[in-house]
Amino acid sequence: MKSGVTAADARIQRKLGLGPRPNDPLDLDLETWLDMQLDAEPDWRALNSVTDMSEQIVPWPGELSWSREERVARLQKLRRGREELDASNLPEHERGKQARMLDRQYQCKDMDQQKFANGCIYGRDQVNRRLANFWFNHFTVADNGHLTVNMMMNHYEDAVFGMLKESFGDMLYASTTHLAMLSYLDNIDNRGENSKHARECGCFSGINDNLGRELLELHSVSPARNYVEDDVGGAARILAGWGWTYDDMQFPRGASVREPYVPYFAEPGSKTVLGKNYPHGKDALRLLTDNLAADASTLDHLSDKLAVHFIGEGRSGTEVMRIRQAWVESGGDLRRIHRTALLEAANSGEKKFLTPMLWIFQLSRMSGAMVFQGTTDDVRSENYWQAARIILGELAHNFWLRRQPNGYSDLKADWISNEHFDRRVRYAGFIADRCRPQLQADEMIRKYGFSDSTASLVAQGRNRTEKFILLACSPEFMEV
Amino acid sequence: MQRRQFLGLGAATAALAGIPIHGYTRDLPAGKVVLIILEGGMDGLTAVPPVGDPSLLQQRRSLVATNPLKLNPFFGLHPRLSEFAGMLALGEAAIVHATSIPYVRRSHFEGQNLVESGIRQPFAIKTGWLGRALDEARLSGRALAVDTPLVIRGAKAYDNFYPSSIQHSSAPDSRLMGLLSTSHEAAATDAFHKLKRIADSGDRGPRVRDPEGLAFSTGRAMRGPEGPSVAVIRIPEFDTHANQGVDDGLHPELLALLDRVLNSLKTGLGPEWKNAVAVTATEFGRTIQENGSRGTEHGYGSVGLLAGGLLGGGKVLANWPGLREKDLYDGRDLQSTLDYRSVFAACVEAAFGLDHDLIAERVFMEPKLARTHDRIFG
Repeated sequence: MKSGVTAADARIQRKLGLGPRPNDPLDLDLETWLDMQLDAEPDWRALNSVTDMSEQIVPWPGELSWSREERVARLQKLRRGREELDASNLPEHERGKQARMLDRQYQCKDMDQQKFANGCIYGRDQVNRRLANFWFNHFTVADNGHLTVNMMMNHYEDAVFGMLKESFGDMLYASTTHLAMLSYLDNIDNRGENSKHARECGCFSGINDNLGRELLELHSVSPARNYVEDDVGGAARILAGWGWTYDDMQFPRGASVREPYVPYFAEPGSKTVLGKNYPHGKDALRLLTDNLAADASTLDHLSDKLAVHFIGEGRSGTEVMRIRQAWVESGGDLRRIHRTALLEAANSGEKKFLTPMLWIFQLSRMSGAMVFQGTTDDVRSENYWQAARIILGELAHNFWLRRQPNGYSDLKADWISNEHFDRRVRYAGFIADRCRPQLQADEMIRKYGFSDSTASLVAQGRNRTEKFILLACSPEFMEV
Repeated sequence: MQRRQFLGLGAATAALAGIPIHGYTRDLPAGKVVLIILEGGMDGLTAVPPVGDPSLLQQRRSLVATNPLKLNPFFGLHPRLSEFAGMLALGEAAIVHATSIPYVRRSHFEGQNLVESGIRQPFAIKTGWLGRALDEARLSGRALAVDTPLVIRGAKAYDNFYPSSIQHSSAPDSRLMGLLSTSHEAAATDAFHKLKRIADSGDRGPRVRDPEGLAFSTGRAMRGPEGPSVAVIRIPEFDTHANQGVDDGLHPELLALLDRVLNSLKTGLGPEWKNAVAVTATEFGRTIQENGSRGTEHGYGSVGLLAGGLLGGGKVLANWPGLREKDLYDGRDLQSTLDYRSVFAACVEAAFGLDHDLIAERVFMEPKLARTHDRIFG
């Protein structure tokens, strides 16, 4: 598609990505810029420290990035440490103290959130990161215990970010089989009623349909497909055997961290989902996710969801159909689908209200302020209020919070309230006063080409802080 | 006990709404409604087990509390609901069993939308039943949550309360909020205007965020004729697919939390309790049988708990469908024999004095919605 908008200016970068940083070019050809962005490799950069006098951007340290295997190993150490503590004769308060120390030593979630936020602010891959955040919300995993929360960032990196240049079928399978998802939606407890496990040990064993249901409802076809309980049951039985419990971390035979399928727990026999039959065995799940990924209802559901996220709630049927058409023509190739959706968004006059996370990332990037703690800051002590978990938590928009599997809303009405706006006003003032923005409000207006009406509003501020608040909370900044 | 016969036997986050409009003379009762949304699908058969149904233990022996409180020969109450049991004994509570909103597709997200919108089609409307009831009662107002729940969205937007805790930040300035209010449109204008009003009043309310504390402060805020008429409290995590627990564990803890929330609400409301009704709502019940991971799957019929001084005597109401396999919905779930929106409608009628037919038609868009007011509040 040939774009009518030609330059990737600040508005376009905000609409399609996370917004420009102070030194980013604003005059690149839109499609050239977009292709560069879509082809970019993940750029994990971060602030050194919020206590530095000026911004020092460094690569995210390798020792604070953990592979899937390393995360499981840390969990195992945590579990063993807790078992030893439980068996000890230490007084209750001392055990509690040491348990907290163990948590800090082996859990990954605090640094994961720092890495996530820093990547969103300092990464030069703002469009892919925006897309990854969209899909991370679509394939929601959230804190419901150690296994899930310790694996979440790896889900983000491997199953979502790492799949942006693959097909939707690849992403669907990668997300469904990731330990974070298998744990979050209870599939680690999903065991065939007639599995070898059930027959041999006489243990309590049976189907848990949580993931099977959400695989259909949320991740692919949606209720519009009019599936029935037997379809949910069929999907759940195909999923039986995928994942295992936290209490049994020693990798059952035949399973690995990357392919956590345990035949011992699988339901034998063929299964049926939406009229299609699936054979017994591990490969049935890939067949299922491929069929779901190609289902017309999935294309309808997700084309519209992409349109709402990037274009806005007022997206037209034509815009959605063009995204769907790219889906059909490319066979579900995400890069082509994304490119079409983003160009539709660039050329649409529809406004998109910025959710709190998007708002604070854009404000941080565009002002060049040091908002989120960096790689050398202690997330639990000095300046802890600038930890990602605190800021995003206060904004009630943090992927690592406990929440339901349908993810955060993309609808404006769900993010407008005096309490939501109270937080935006407070953070805007905090950033202006304490986070050393490189650009003040007047400078941002000039550099990024905000409108005269926004400039008039900001001019009514009596000092730099007031001007910064007025710009950050202006209609033009909150909706793009 | 005969089947299909009514039995007349003896959170979280919160949102407030419905401050009376000054200058509008009302001759309707100024009651209070508190909706407690139990997100995830509450297992009504565990909360209020039909111990007199011989199929109960056959179907779900492993999910029935060891020593349920005895309400009558047919129904028991989970022991973690002891404060609620006390309210029942005082005639300040009621139970409606085998009930659900008219929704059978077992999706949380559609179901939760319908619990709040009060209609039959998910995501088809941008207002909620309490918001529309407030519109009909000519009450406007405010909402304790970061967001404004769909259920209280009506013709007007309602303000809300859930205090932030942002270190080194300053409260919004009245002048700036005025400037932002006039620069925005529609709901955003309202939200900034409310921040201006709060800044002008200097009143930020109590800074508590735990469910019981929120329930208490919600109740206090609702006291008196000028207080909000409606509150919404959310208690999440009732989606007990794994390790649901029977006497202890996740589900019993959630019931205990609900119990404390109700008690804190009563304490907070103080003398206003006599004019109030709190009503629970959940998107669906759970399967009658335990699944493979000591939990339950999404079901259909569940139970509704009501508490407050507006209620007339402790009652358990149910058109009991039975628990034999042939009695179950889809052969797996407790059947619903009452559209739970009838219970919502009864609460609106009792608190705001609106005519049932008007409530049915204008609030729930369901002219034939059954009237249950007299059975629950009579």
